[in-house]
Amino acid sequence: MADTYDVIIIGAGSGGGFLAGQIASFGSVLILDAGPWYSEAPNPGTGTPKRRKLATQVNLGNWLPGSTDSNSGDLFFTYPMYMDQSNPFAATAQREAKVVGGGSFVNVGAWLRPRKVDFTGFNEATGVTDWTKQAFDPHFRRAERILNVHRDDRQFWNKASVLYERIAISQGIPVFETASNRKNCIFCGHRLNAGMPCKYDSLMSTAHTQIPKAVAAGAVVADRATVTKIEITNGTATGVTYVRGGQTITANARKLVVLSAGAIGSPLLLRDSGVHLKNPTVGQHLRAHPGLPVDVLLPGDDWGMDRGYQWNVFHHAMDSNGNPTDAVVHASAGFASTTPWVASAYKIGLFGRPYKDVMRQFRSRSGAFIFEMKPNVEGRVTGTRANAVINYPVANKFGILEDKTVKEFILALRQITEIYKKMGAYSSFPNPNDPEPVLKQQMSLFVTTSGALHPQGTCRAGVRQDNSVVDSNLMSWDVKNLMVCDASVIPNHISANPNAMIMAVASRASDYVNGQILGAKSFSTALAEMGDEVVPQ
Amino acid sequence: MSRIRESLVAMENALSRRAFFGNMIKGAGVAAAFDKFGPKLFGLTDAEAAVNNQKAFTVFSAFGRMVIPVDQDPGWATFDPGITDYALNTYVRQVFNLGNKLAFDGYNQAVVAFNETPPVIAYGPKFLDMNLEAQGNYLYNILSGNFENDGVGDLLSFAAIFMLLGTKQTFFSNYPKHLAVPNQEFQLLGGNSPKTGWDIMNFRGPVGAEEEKLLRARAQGAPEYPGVDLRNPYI
Repeated sequence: MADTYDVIIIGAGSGGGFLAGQIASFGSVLILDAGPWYSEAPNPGTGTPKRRKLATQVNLGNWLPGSTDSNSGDLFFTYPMYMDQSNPFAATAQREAKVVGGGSFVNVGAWLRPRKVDFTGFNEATGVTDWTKQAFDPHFRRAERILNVHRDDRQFWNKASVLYERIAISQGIPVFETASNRKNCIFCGHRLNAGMPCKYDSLMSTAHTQIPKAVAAGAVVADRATVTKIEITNGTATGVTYVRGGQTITANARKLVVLSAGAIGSPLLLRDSGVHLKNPTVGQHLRAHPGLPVDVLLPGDDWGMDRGYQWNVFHHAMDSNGNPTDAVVHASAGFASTTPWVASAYKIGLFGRPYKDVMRQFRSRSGAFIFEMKPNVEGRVTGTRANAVINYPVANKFGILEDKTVKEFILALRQITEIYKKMGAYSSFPNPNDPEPVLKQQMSLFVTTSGALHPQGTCRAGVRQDNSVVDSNLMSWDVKNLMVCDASVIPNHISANPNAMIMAVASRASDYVNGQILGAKSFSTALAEMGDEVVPQ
Repeated sequence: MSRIRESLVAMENALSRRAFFGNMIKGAGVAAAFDKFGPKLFGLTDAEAAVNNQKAFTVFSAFGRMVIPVDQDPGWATFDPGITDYALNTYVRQVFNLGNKLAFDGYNQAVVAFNETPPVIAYGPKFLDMNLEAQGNYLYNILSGNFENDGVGDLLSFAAIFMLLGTKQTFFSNYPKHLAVPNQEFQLLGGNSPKTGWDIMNFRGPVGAEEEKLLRARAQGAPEYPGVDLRNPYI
């Protein structure tokens, strides 16, 4: 393995993985990832032996006897996250993907573009003027083509999704189809189960698309490589030191080091490398999306919900003027109905025969996830990679969520419940008719025990060094030849799972790298020859 | 209806979702404190912790037998000691404690306290020495907050909730059918009689080889609509 490359990418997830596929034809590239690489050629719809085994043995329902550590083993980093100011001892376990392909390999299957208002928010947060919808739209299209982003025919939706859509529209709520980056899906229903890859290789992650493309172009992947430090000499990033197989190795970067370790990992590595001493914004402005699951009990057993999540539709909770709020509802997600969480919600017998009878009678249940996309909360990431501390104080000193989140959660909850009632639902939890103080407490406890979803913004892009970590092209203000390319650069909240945005950011960054750093003067022509979409500079 | 059943139903009614999560939060606090201070908090050496964990096993097993009785369906006792061993030493250890030994020892210390506290606060005999009806009443009193004035309410509530979660999750995860088999492509195991959790409820469980073929055949040629839903005026 050579020790000098044009570009070294730290982290092969949605950001680094996508970038690698776009730049590897124009320079030598080393891709480092702390997790394993399941490198068999993709076989969408069937799977490969290694990835099938992996997918059946890491999900939350299956445990290999004798294994000692489920969450911080091969596939995840686990960090403590403190969310409740009323209970400073209680930290949730924040899990971040640790595998070649990152979150796009382990979990993400829903593909959602940001809202127009998000781009305005970028400008308001840090002054960036070129993070516009117009600038990013071609990059979304490019990524959507590469990852086979599409929507499915309604014959493959579950019955609850189809009915939910009809009823919501009849009530004047605009409902939209959720797109997904899958290929040859057999609709087993498990694609969005938390923390598991697709057994059938249908989930088009960067490990299935861009990274093989990069390797075919000559890029080198070093998996299970734990980066300890970005080497910085006279203010310039010159390489990366990492540990692999017990050996400490320093690889040199002739032109660029790209940090793509995610919204938690990237600021920690910058801190480990001393960059936070030059730029106190490193690790600040952590944004996230508090999430609240809503469970409902439906009569009968033919709703098609017994195979896991089916996120076919989504909508915004609408205010009294008919305008969308920042609460987004992902409807008709089927839930595992055997958890104590769910059982305790229905005030039915929890144990023994009464419980078993109820579960027999109501085998199908449905629900929704509500995400608050723009809470008035900022957190921070401090410490080191080995000893991280994440604060995201979404609950105040009384243990209650901040006002905007509470208000919009309750609004969404009422709208969801009305729709499910029309579908014949017997019961829902949380129950919007409960007294508001009880609702507030329930929602707060749920959120603060669940962790912060979709972290972003911890190395945000801006136009000034004093309020951002990178410039609008993602280049560090403080260290030459250092780029950050992942969810951490997003300047402000976006109204969606950030996976699509990260890949659009990486696509845009790849044009900058190819044109401005790798000197690929004819890179547009080359991209066109490769079948790629040429995006104007 | 037996008196233990009355106790459990009363307990379930008293156990609002709010109390449920509230107790979990307290539990998280106990766990975090133990994680931080380790054996110093409870004064346990490794050897003492090992003995303690064995005691916890016995208490956990008795708890499972109480809350998941053998009635017309099989219950916890049908599968013991394997189900207790799996629930405590694999499931609880990994899911609740993320493999953290100190935190696991802390949970077990709380379980032992659940057994040994009644005589200390002059409530009655140890949990393991109670008959089923008394055990049910003890659990009801804990979850109703009746021990808060004794200064042990949080610890007992935490232990009770923790054991409720652990036993329930394991039983209704279809023990032992849900155990992954290393390197096996299809995790469906053959006959599991008598049935537990999902089987009792007639859930279909994971996709097997035959169903996979059917699903693939059904999905063959499924229409796809490229890109995102551009009817969305907000994007």
